[in-house]
Amino acid sequence: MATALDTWPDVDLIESARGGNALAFAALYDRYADRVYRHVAYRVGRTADCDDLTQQTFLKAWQAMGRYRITDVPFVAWLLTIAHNSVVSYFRAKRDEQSLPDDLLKVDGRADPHAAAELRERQDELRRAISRLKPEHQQVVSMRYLEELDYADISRQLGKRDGTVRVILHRALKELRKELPEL
Amino acid sequence: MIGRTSPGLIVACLDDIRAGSRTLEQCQAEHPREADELRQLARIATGIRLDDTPHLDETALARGRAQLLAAISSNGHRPTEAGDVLKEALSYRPRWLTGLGAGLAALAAGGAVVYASQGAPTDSPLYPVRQAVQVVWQAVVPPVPGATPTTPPAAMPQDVSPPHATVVAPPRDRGPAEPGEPPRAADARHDEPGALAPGRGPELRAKPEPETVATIRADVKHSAPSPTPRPSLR
Repeated sequence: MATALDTWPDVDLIESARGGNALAFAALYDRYADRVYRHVAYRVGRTADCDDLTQQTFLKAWQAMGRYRITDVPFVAWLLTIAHNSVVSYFRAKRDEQSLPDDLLKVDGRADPHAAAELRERQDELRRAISRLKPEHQQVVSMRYLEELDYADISRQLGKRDGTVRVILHRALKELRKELPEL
Repeated sequence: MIGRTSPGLIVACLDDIRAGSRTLEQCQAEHPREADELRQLARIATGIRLDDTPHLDETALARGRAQLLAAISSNGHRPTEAGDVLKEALSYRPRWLTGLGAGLAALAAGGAVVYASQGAPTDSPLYPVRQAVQVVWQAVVPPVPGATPTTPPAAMPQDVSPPHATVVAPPRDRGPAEPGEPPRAADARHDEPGALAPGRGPELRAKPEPETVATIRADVKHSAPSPTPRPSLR
């Protein structure tokens, strides 16, 4: 159901939400919930937990709206930082490896079911290896490769220099390579 | 640096390989020393994608929205109050703020030294600072023609009289006091500190040298005021 708020730009919705307008914040949820959900799903795996973590992310964002500063960095980068922190807390609480249930990764319709299963297994391994990286490495890998944010946005969001973000990404990839020598 | 690969170079190649703008073979041909590392990392970098991750369907989206609004309205969640904003501002320390604070501290310290140097005696280590301030003041504040030269209030040595007091006019000579007459005010002026002996013309002193004025004041301090007016020497 489309509303007038759906046409507002992010900055207007954010300003309105900061003033306490829950419907403006709900419009931001409509806009970015799927993106946050997929980010969390990639890293966590379990469907029910993904729903909970996505809700947690937006509730924390609502509580923190008063502290959010509108800058050049996209609002979604800030949301994904909150999501990342929620995922890190989730893994600390669980402290066990997650495996993707069959209902999460849908078969992509390839003719060869073996290739699809192999792809799924490889994705599983990669996802688990990412979850074992240092939190900062996980965040840079997911923001750059999953969300495809550019280095300028990532560096501003994390408060680091552009070159530092690239170095972190390089180190994260080398760590993943050590974890997955057969990949 | 020999034997070390540039992270930026590797990452840039991997970005191009992921985007499809270059192939692995092209990157390896351009950077043969990094060929092996590129091969190993390209498999990792190209495997990290959201392509196969499911989307949030419409039903789940609507359900999540309703739950979010219910939580916001019923549980009292609200954006951070102003108090937390203050805490956030205090915890936010950009680099430039540190530099600005250091600069202001240096400025305050320099200002304190300049202020402390005013009134410093000649044997004080701050005396050169005092002289330098006076030189700068004279250069910055040009004297107004016809007016008494002034010194900056802060630069005024404590032992110097106000500027107007340096202009000493000769006493009006109304002739010697008649015998039996009370001493004339003009005569009595001879007793005033800093007064000139009769016969000398008005002396418009340009800005007095501190030492000279100090000497005069010292002299005045040491000379006892005469109980009776000095007779005119005319």
